[in-house]
Amino acid sequence: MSGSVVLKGLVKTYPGVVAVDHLSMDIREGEFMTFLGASGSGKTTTLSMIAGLTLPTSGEILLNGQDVTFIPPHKRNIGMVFQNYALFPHMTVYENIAFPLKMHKVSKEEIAKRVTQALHMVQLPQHGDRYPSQLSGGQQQRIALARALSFEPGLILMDEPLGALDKKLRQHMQIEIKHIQEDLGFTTIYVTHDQEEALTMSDRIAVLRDGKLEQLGTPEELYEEPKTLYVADFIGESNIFKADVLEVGEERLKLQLPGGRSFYALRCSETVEGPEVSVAIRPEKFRVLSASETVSEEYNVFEGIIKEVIYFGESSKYSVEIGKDVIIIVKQPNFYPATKVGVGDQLTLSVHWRSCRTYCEGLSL
Amino acid sequence: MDKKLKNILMHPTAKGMLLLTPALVALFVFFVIPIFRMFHLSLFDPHFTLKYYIAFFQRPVYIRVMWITVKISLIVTAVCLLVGYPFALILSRAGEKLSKVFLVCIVLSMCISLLVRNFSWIIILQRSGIVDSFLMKVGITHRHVKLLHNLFSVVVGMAEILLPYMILPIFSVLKSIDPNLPKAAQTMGARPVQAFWWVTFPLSLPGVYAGFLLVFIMSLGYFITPALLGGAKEMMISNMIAFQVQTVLNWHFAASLSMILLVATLVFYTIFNKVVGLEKLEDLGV
Repeated sequence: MSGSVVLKGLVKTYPGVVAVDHLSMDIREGEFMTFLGASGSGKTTTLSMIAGLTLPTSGEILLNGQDVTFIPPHKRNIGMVFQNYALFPHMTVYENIAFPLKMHKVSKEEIAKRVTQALHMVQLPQHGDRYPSQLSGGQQQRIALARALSFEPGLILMDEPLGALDKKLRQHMQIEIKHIQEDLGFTTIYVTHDQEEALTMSDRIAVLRDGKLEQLGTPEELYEEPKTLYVADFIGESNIFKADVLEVGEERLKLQLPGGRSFYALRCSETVEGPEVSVAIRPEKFRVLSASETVSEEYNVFEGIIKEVIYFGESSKYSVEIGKDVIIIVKQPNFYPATKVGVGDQLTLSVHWRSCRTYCEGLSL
Repeated sequence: MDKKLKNILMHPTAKGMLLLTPALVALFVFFVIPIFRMFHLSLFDPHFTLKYYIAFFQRPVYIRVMWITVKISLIVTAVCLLVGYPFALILSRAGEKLSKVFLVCIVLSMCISLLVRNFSWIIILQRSGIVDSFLMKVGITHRHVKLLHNLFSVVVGMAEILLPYMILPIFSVLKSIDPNLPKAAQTMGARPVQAFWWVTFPLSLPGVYAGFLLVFIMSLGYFITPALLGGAKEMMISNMIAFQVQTVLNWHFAASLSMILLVATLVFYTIFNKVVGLEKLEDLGV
């Protein structure tokens, strides 16, 4: 019942713009794949090409091993949930969900059965007679999902389906969609610009940038081992600063902060060019050391002055100047008893050298 | 006292009312009063009488003229719908530049005098005119075809002039339909024709109704085109009124005919509203 998708060198150009630039990837059966990217990254265009609503300039799309590049959308058997839901305003909820079944020539009795099932699945069994305009945003979203699922396509495409909902409801729907997807086992391609949403829901994430695939991997891989500075910055938070290269080792680099202190960092690329590299460190990888504490060689130790403290409830963020003009953010959970530090205090921090990732390219945003 | 008056006049509602005044005065002087005058004229000669209304219903010729009026209006409306809908559909899907050019053309056509446009049709349709000589040359016919002063020429002339009133409302409704809706239908297995039939077309109906109503009601009172392009058989009620005013000088009867036309128009409007239920469609958020 679930479908696989293969993209081979997919290109879409518009006059003056390359929207999608030689995109290739395999999407496995039953997988929850997310296209993550900023606006203009080509994620929606790619989704639209998979649905058949946009013709690619070149490249191939395979669905379950079959070339569907030039097959019109109504023959692809793909369910799609649109950003604004695209519910038919002149049809009731029942008629909306029945529509794809009617188009697929399912018998009347079977339609009634399946619509009821679909309404139960999205927990709106009593709403069949309503019109979409009489439903709340969250309810419309569920109906759109039920409609896309009612004809049991093996592949569901979702284009920022939760974009219009408020934060609480969005989080709730993320989990609900994920549960339905796991229960029914259909393949999902999900488009979003919200990295948190991508991390929570996906089996794998494809980070797109300017129509190209920046990195493809599980949420954990993308967060812990970003291959490019763009990914390190786009997914989660990263402290990014420049450091001079002192020694180039096989696996690690010895670097020096502007202002003197040297430290070790993970070597990320084959070649290390130039006198300096960019370093990215996640704010929560730091640990605040007490005065007497010592750490093993594996850890880098930085010292700095606290410039700002921001209280977040479950955690606090400290801005610490660890080198000349190098200010990093350190995130610490708020233990009991609370650590009594404030602006102007000296702070000693430790961080494992493998958590310090280096990149040759600069960050151009 | 002065200040109080000023306050009242500067109140937002009062200001709005003030702005409405010129329009209301004009409407009253040039519309409401004449209608009452006409109503009065149709009923008093010089004492109260119903003879001008009775005359209408006693003589079959007047009923016939009324029937012809309704028939021609229906045909014209149908022609406008058949020609206008595809045009509006293409226009709504055309690129921005192209659709602007077309819209300007439509509006420009409305700026050209009715007389000029009707006379153009005379030139095109007359004996040995462009169409006639073309048909003979190609050999479709060997005798002259009568294209003018019949139902055909009246319908063509009226439809050409009234077409924009059908296209514009349909176009504006089509344009307001979310382009994702037919796309969504296609992802759900609908062929493009089915997506149009089940989604785009029903959603465009308010525009169709508006265009239908506009063209039909304007046709009912049409005067110039049947006068210029029609024959004796295509006399519509407005021509009859003009005849009574200008030739027979029976203004009382002309007034009663006008009142009958007005009532007929209102009746059609009411029936239409009941059957279609324009308000109900608006409730759906269409």
